[in-house]
Amino acid sequence: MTSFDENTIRNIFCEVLGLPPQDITDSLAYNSCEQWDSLKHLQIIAMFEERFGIEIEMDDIIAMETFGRVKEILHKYLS
Amino acid sequence: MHKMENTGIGTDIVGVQEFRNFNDPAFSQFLSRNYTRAELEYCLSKDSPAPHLAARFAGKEAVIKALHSLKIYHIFFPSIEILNDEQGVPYVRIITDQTEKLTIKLSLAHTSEMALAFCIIIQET
Repeated sequence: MTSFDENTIRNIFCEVLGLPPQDITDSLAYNSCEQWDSLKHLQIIAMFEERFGIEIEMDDIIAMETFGRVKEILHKYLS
Repeated sequence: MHKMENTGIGTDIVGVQEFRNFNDPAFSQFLSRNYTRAELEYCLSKDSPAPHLAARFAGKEAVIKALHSLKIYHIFFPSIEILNDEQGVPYVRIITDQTEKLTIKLSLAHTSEMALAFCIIIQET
């Protein structure tokens, strides 16, 4: 398992959503970001699992509604 | 006679283009996380897997939306398997320990660009 690294999380968002790093703020939200749809959400989850060597539970996948919340939840797996 | 409150509906539409990189390692991780082995065998046996992968994704989304309209929230992508019978008609198998009695009807369609799905679920009481 890899340790928590905010840059890796941000880079995955940039790669999957096609957004520049400065657009990936804590308030970036699933329901207001045009690029962040359900398919992209599950691609992001798959990349977290692959890069960090973790398996994220369904309830946490659904709760990851903002970039800030994503970081909080990943902390739980990577601490 | 079935009551409307026991009937769930869901629909979804996705772009096929998103699924054309199915050989990419990162995308393969997404596929193996959210599709069953049988689904992947079926889709990847096709000359052009992308529309079939996209249609199944739309199908899983449509099933989830129909389940949510029945207030069933514990079933997620990897637990929903969409295969085809001998006539090519899609059918859905829910892989779960819980015992809801659900009758699920699903229709899939795709062009070279878009895939869509429509689902009706009747919950037996």
